[in-house]
Amino acid sequence: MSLKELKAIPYQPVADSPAVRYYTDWNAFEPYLENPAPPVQLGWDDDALRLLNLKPDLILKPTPLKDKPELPEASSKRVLAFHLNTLNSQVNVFLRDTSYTILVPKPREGVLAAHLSVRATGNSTLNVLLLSPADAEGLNTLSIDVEVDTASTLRLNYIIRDSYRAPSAIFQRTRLDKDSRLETFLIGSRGRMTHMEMNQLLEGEASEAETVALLAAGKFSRITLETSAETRAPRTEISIRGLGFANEGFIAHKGFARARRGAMESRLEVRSRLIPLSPTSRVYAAPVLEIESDEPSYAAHSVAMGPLDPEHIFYIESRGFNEAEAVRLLVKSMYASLISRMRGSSLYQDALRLLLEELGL
Amino acid sequence: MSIPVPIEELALPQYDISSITYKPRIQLKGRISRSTIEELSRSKREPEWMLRLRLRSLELFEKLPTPNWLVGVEELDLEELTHYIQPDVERVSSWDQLPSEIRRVYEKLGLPEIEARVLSGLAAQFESENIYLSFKKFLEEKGVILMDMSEAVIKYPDLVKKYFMRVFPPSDHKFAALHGAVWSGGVFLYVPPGVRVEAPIEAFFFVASELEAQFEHTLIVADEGSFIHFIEGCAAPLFKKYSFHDGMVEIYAHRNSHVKFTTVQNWSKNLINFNNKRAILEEGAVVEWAEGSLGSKVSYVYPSVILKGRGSRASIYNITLAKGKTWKDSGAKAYHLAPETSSEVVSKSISAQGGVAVYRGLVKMARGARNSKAAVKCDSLLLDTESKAYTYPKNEIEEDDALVVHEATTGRLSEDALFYAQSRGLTEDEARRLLVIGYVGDILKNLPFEYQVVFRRVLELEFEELGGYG
Repeated sequence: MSLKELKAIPYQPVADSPAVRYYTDWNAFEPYLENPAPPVQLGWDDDALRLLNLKPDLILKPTPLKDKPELPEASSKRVLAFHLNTLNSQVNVFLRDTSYTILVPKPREGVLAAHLSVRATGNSTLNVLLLSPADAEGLNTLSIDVEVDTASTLRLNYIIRDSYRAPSAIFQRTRLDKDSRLETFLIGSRGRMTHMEMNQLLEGEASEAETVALLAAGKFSRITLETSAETRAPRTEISIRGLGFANEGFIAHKGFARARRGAMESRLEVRSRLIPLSPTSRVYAAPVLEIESDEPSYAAHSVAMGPLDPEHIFYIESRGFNEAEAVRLLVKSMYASLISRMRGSSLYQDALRLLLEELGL
Repeated sequence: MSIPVPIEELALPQYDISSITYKPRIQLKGRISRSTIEELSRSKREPEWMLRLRLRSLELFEKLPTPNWLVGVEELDLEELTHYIQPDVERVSSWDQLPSEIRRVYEKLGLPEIEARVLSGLAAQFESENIYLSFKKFLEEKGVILMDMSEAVIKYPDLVKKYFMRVFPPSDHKFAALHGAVWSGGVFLYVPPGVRVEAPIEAFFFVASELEAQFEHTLIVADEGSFIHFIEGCAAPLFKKYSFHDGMVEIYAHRNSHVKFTTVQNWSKNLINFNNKRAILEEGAVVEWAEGSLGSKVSYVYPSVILKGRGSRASIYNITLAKGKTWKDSGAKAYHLAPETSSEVVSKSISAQGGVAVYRGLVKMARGARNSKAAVKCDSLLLDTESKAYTYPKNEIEEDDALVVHEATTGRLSEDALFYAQSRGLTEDEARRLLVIGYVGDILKNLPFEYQVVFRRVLELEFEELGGYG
């Protein structure tokens, strides 16, 4: 695809609807689109990796391409089209009752465009780590196709700490079979412009998708997260929860929950809590519900955006802490309240330190 | 203010009014060109500044793109519409002076009776012009101005020019520009400082022919410390072909003023309805929008408020009924630009028989809106498997101590509640009707009693027509 053809594709499918703004700073991707180059000097943040106490089973690198994946949305999203066009790494992963960790390195320059095709059966965990050196200038684009087999459970953990100097884009697409369950846990901090789209399609009866996203944006950081889940089958459950703090940074969360015909007795829920910690912070939220029949038994979304409760801060201060300590305790406890919902929370406790560090707490 | 009366005693809207064959004095139809605009302006004897505003709007209309997210407007062909119809009737201030054929229409709609019971003023627009306008003498003596919009442009040019399309500029979008180019009818209401108009004033808009486009413009200026409740009613009989409405309401609420604006929209089921509604609030001002959207085939209405004065407050209440093959796109927008402002949005929709109800909203806390608060609650009720409800809210915060809370639910009638109501002796249809009326009850209570009754009765009639849902 030529640059001209690429530029004919919009950054977002519907350009001028008041409800489809992505909040992503697409300008950050422009230089790479204009001049795509192979990745040079792949690297990662060793300290962060040690902190998480995880040993990668696979470190992505350029590979020969087999069949190019089919990404239908590439025709309506410019960065995804660019990703498909530039694809230089492709990996298939089959998980059966196992835990697997993939490290996505950041190029010092150029573009690492990788595609993961994941199939999970039994009870498995997949960790995807993007732990960039703070000053790397290359672009990461990553597409992940996930298929969860009948009566299987996949825990998908993303831990993302990107570079201050280069953007990243992640596009995940998941299909859930009957009685399957996907638990997505996303920890995202730091990044010049980190754009993430998590799409889940619940095709199988009684399938469940739970997404928890913990985000932190300090100075110079911009994070956009789009979580989208669609059900077409009976007795499915969708739960999306986002919690983000911005301290002189920017966070946007757009959460879609869609129930199409046939989603009898399904439950859908999108919840978002975004908190600006300083006057120059910005937080945006757009939780969307699309319900196409009266069949679902429950569909709701809620957003709360606002400061930490001054009474809570005062209470902690009255117990002998200073204001900064009180804020730190409150932020930590709010993150921890979501972490405690997840099984095997020791990894998340470690990752929590990355979030607090990003916020300068 | 109002005296409760039994439902049976109230005149209710009847929608079997057949086409009215009253001949127009002037008609402008077809492609909207510079010469159409000039002719329209000339026929109204408008000052030069208004003609310039119209022509600038026309330029914008031609330049601006049609929004590509609009649904259900495929049949809208502006070239086949009549954009201005001046009825061959002089404006009067007594119902007896109207031609009997037209008077009967308003009597069937119950307007003279409601005017006598509740209102302190009423303007009735037929096609593109007001043919009836009356309001209480004592208000006139206090300096309140209630006037046909075109007449106000001539009589009070300085006052009108200061506000006209300044709250909602024609450059906002293509259909605002179209409105700016061809507007006609509507009212101008000015309430002087400190004056409280306790009984509501109503403007009623009637589309009387198919392929007609109505572009009425309502401008309300509430001066410092004043109070006004304005009610807007809309109706149209059902024709074979569609009609089009692209009206505009601008409210300028000065310091510490209080404006209530209520819409009871019951257009016919083949009318495409765009409505542009916006209010600007100065320090300490309060604006309350209440919007009941019952009729029309396709509707795009988002009452909005710009809270630019410290401590200003706004509330926006919507009830939307999407029944049958309809697309009802409604919502609310609140722009908080000043400290200590607050807004509340409550939206309730009912979708039945394949109807689609959409909530599209925005709350923006701009830099400077310190200690401001916004609460949005939107609920959608789906009554069958064919109907749909979409909720597209957007919340943006650029102040760290501003608070936005948003909640939404989409659901069906509770089986438990239905069972309970039936166990108390109601039939299933009665139980469903009762639950739906209860569902919108907390918004209805904000309307004057007479309008609550009309609203409830219209909802009940819709149910009777359906024979209950299930």
